[in-house]
Amino acid sequence: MSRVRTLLALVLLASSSLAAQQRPRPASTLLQAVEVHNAEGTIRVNGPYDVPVDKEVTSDVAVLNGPVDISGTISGTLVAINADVRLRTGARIRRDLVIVGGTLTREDGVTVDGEVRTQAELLRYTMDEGRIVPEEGRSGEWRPHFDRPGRSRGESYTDFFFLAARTYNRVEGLPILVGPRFRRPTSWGRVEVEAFGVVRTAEPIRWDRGTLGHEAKADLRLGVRNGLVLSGRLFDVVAPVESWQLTDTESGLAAFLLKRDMRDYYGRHGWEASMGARLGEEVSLSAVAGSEQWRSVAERRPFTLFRDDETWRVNSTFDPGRVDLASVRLRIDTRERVRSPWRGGWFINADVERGSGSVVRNPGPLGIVQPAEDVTYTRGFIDARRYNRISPGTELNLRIVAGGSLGGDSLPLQRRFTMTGPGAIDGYDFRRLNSVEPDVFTCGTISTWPGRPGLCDRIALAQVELRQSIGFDWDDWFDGDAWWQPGFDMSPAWVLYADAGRGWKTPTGQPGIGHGKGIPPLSSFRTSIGAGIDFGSIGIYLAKSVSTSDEPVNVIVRLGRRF
Amino acid sequence: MWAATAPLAPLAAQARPGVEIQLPTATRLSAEGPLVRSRALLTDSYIRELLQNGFPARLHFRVELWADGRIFDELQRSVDWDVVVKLSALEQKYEVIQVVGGRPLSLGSFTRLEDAEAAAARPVRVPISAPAENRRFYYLARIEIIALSGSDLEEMNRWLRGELQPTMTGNRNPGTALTRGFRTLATRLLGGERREFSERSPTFRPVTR
Repeated sequence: MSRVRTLLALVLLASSSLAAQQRPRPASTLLQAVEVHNAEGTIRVNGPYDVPVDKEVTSDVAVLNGPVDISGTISGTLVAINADVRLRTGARIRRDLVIVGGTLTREDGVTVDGEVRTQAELLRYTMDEGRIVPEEGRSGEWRPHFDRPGRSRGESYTDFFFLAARTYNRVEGLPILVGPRFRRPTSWGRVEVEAFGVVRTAEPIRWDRGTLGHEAKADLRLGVRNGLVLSGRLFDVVAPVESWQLTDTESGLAAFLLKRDMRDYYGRHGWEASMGARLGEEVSLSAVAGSEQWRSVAERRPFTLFRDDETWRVNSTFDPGRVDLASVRLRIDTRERVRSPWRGGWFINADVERGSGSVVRNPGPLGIVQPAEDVTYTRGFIDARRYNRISPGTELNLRIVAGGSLGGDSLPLQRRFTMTGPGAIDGYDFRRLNSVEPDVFTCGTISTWPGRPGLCDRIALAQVELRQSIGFDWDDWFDGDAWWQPGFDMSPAWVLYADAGRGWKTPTGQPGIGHGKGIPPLSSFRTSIGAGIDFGSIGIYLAKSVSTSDEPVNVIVRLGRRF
Repeated sequence: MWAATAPLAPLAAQARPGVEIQLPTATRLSAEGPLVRSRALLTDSYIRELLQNGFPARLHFRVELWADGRIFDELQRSVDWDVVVKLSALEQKYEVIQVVGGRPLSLGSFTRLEDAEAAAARPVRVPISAPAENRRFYYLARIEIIALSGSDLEEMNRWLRGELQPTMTGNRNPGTALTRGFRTLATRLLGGERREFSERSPTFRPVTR
């Protein structure tokens, strides 16, 4: 008998243990919420949901987004997904209360007969015929997407009368572009056509090439993300000789506000056609061929806000003529690609140009007029930058700019260089002649051309900067009324930097300025150091030359980063 | 090893705009990412004013996992997403949308800005976790508020449509609305549309040996 009892006890134990194993394990908060929401008979609501006093809801309720406000009774389970729940005095939920991605506010005198389960984090889901399907395994979508296909295709537009403007300058004033434009992304790429007339606002305004110009281009992209680009362009424009030192905004504002135009300009009239390849918006390589007529353009009388009674710096005459050009251009910009530390953080803008044609060399300060001369040259330029985040808020950034004649050919004036002013070596003034030292900034002499245009055949510049965010809270100062803080980044950064560089002429000739093959001795480079605060849209810096002790300290204001 | 495991405090108790980051429990540090949420961003007077003038606010979240180095720290992984809040001029409701990888998820439409704030501030479990290594790591969470996206005139047109029409036909003072609108526009043109907040988590070791 005792054996039978023991056996019975064992069977009962075994069966109870089995029953315990077969009993459904309590589902996770998320699974329970989804199960209740998708069940038949559940009342589903998307948006605000109220149950007033004295009202009883006799089934399960699932609410998306909410908010949920309960004063009455729910006889089933209440599920709130991405919604906050408020249970007011007298509210009763006869079964469970499940909240995913929301908070619970519970007043006194509230009854929840079942379990209260909450999960703080938001639920991402898709809808399938009224049922919700939680998203899983899509973490790849959360990675930073610098180069989405949709973005590279660009927006679609058709404008019959499009109005735009380019950088303000002392030759054109405000160049206004007027005309039709068309862009259409397609399943295979993109088509873009623009045909603009250019109207220059600088006085004197006449019906001539000084006031009027044109720019038209057609662009065909084959491939949505990567692929080929075919492009053609017709133009009669005024173009800067160099633009790597300052941004267009800085150059334009300095001209418009302070009558300080730190670029030189020449006229370009002709055509070019290019074929290139691109990888997203980050990398492009193109081969360009074209033919242009070059001309000199004099400074005119555009309006300025201050110093309007002063005269403009002379825009030097350049080498007029006709040249055929062939070039290869490379552009890499992975500055936004933060996820890939080594492949991200690069900016490279490089080109190699081969030119041949006939130009009339500038007579120079002595005024000896030269006959037209056949020219053939090869010129290279590179602006390479590396942005390194060495800790959150700290960056160590490097930049190298180099350019010059690759074969030792004599470059036309339009293709020569300067190494002066803000953006280059900050500790030295813009194109100011130091009568003691050789001018390795413009490579000119005391009796140089008016306006001191760039005469260097080659340049080399290295810049390094260390920047660190300042833990500064503007809210402490502005007490919430912050609408008037234009241009101020809420997390400014201090910046320490150093610049070293020079330009030179080839071959050797002028003492201290000429140099033959290779890079001149580093001891001949001009160096400066600086420090400042970058407020985001505006930065203020103090820069002091190191290689010339009697150079005074320069105060530099930059709009945006130095580079 | 230590980790911040205290629950995120209720929003009402915290008036200062910012971002909060909460590490997983000590045993889950290499299994899941942190919880991240914004705090009191839309109730900031500047953002509120822009929203009420019809400009959408875009909260761009970026969370980075860094390895703590002796000299230089090293970025390991990062994720980002957006939350867009805009005022529907017709319904006078604030629409809140979360966008991950270009895919939107509606977090609701609300008549009260406080409810929209609550929706925008829902905690997000960030899908990056530290590798199971005996190194020191930390998370950096940043929110960039861009009150107006893009620089084209479309946004301006939205302002004109969204702000002036209801004002002229409703009970609000047109003069005040115009002043506010132009002030907003001036701020926009001068580049004051961007604000940024960041928070760094405590340093942690996912594995200790």
